Amino acid sequence: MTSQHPSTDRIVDYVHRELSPTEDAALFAHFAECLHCRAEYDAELRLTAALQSAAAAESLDLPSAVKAEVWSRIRSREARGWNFFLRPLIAVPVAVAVALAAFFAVQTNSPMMAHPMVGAQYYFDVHSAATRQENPLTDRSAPVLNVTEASEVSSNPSPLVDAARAAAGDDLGR
Amino acid sequence: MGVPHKPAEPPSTEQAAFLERAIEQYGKATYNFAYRLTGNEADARDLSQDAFLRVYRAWRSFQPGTSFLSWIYRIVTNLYRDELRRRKGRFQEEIPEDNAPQDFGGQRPLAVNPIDEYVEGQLSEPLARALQRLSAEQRQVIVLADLEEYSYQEIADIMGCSIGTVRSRLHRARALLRRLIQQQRTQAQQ
Repeated sequence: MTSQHPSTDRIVDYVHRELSPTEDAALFAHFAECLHCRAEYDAELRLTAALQSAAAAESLDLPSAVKAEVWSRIRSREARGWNFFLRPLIAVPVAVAVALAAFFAVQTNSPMMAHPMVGAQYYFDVHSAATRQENPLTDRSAPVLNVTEASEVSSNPSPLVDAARAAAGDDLGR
Repeated sequence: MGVPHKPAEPPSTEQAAFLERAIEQYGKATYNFAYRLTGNEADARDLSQDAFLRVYRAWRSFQPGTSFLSWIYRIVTNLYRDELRRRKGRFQEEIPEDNAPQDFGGQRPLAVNPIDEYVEGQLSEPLARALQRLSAEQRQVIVLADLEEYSYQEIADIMGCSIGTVRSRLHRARALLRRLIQQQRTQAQQ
């Protein structure tokens, strides 16, 4: 390496300490014996030093207006965010939606609109029948729910109960 | 110089404190970095403002334990790149169709509009003039490598490119700087 002249790009990398330790050592040794390359290396160092001194001579303080402007823009942005919801095109539909939601919430919770109670016996009858139909693994001989007894207890049997019972009976009969 | 730590909750108060500390501790460095990129104080002010607004909004994305300066330099670099693209598009739209392309003798123009020309006139420093004749990417890499003394890897992280790109941009930028300074010396001697 010492016999070969490094390219300017390698010298730039050397100035920025971006070469591998081996390459770095090789260039260091080369500069000791090659005046031409040493001069090129010095020129690169001078360029970096000139850039740094020019920057140092022109070091500027942050104008106070920058900070004030940043906060002003943040506040105006936040205010604009709320103003967005106050625009008529946004505010009116939102208000209507809120009013409708409130109306239906009140209606749903009122006693008049409460769901009619479903008789427990009716539920068990229908559910039992449906379960037996849907699940072929059900132990069909086991009396999961005594449909007969349930219907006897029921004071007002529904036609649906009869249908469910028939379905359960069909299922058991298969 | 401590790095502002990112606290968890509550966001509003801490977010404001985060921004305050960032401006206080890194405002000057950020502004000077923006100035080196743009070459004029008006653009540097705008760029710094935009950068700190971004810091405010994206404060949660800052990783504690990493370099805050590198983070905000990355923000400034991205904003500057976006601004250049925006200006380029706007500039291209405003060119009258009957305007013939100008011949700059194979070199980039010193400035693209009268404001830049005015600002350019205020910069008497030959090196500053030479810097402004580099491309934006070349100027960024010179500022980061030679003024801020970042490693190639750190510059690649800030600029969002590979180390190879950083290396080649730096080599070209320095070669162009050497040539421009030599030209200025020759013209001064004549």
